[in-house]
Amino acid sequence: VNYVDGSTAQQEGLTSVNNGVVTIRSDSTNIASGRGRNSVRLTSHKQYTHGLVVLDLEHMPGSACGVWPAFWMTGPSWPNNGEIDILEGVNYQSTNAMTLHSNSGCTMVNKNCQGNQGCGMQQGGPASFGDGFNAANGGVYAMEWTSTAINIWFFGRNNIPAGATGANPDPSTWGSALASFQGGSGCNIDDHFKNNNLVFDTTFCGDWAGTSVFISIYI
Amino acid sequence: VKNNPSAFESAYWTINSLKVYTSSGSTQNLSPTTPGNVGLGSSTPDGPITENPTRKEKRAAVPAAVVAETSDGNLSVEAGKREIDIPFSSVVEQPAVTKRSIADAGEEMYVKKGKVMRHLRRHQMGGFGHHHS
Repeated sequence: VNYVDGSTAQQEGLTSVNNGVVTIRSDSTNIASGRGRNSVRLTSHKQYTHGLVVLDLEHMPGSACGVWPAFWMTGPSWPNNGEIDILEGVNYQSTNAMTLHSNSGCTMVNKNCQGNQGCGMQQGGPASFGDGFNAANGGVYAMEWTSTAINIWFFGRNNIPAGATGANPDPSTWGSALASFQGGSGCNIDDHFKNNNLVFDTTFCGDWAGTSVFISIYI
Repeated sequence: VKNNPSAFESAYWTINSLKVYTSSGSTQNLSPTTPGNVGLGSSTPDGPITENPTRKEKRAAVPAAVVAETSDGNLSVEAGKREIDIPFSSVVEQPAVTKRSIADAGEEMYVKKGKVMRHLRRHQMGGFGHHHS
């Protein structure tokens, strides 16, 4: 993948805004060379510790061989400040993957969150990711991060709770989270997760989407 | 990926809104201010890179954590990042590929100040806050 800079992204039409709706694209017209297919990685300058993130998403990168889209948060000096993967998957994955990554000493959902493997789960059904998500006009992903838990919800377009994207969303009315990472004796969340930036990116291949079968077409 | 551009016609994000709520008294609405007026981030100069071959490509980035107040009180959110492609020595089908890619991509977005999220206030989350680092 070749993440281009801002002006290139704009010149090539990879980023655009229409009526407040943001579109972020990867190149789909040129044969790739050099570092690979042009794409965009958008990172917030602002960092967060705790909070409620609510993303109303109409479309995400569709299912394709070698594609690896993600909406996630990550901190400096990875993995010492943690990583929260809210929406992520590769290739033709049929349901969303939600994963935390940390340094040592953090166990949640009965898994060691340390390092590359992380701790997580795939949940949400076909409408939560890729082509299935897009066919249903997407929906809302929300992630609530407190000292006690990191919870992720997905609501399809027709099931978005009232007020979820308004001024005062109230997760306590949303029912069970799709993925619930509970802190406590297994993991002191505040020790392992802090100062995270928000990131959108679409990469290609890589060491998840690019494993085995796909490595042969890696640029 | 290289030779089949049309396979990625669907590789795009359409973001209606992105909002971050914190207990510090503000709802930060991460949406561009004016259509067509998204300021795209300037390139971050390349710098020393600490390579860690066990990292996923996706996360091998050093985000620039610079937040600036704009004249209208909104916070400018600018992207600045670099990417490190990692060696694929553990993959057997092809000779190891060692590459290093550094690129910046960015787009400014703006954070609008808003209201406190009641849920968080009600529960009085200790140490809750957002950072301006």
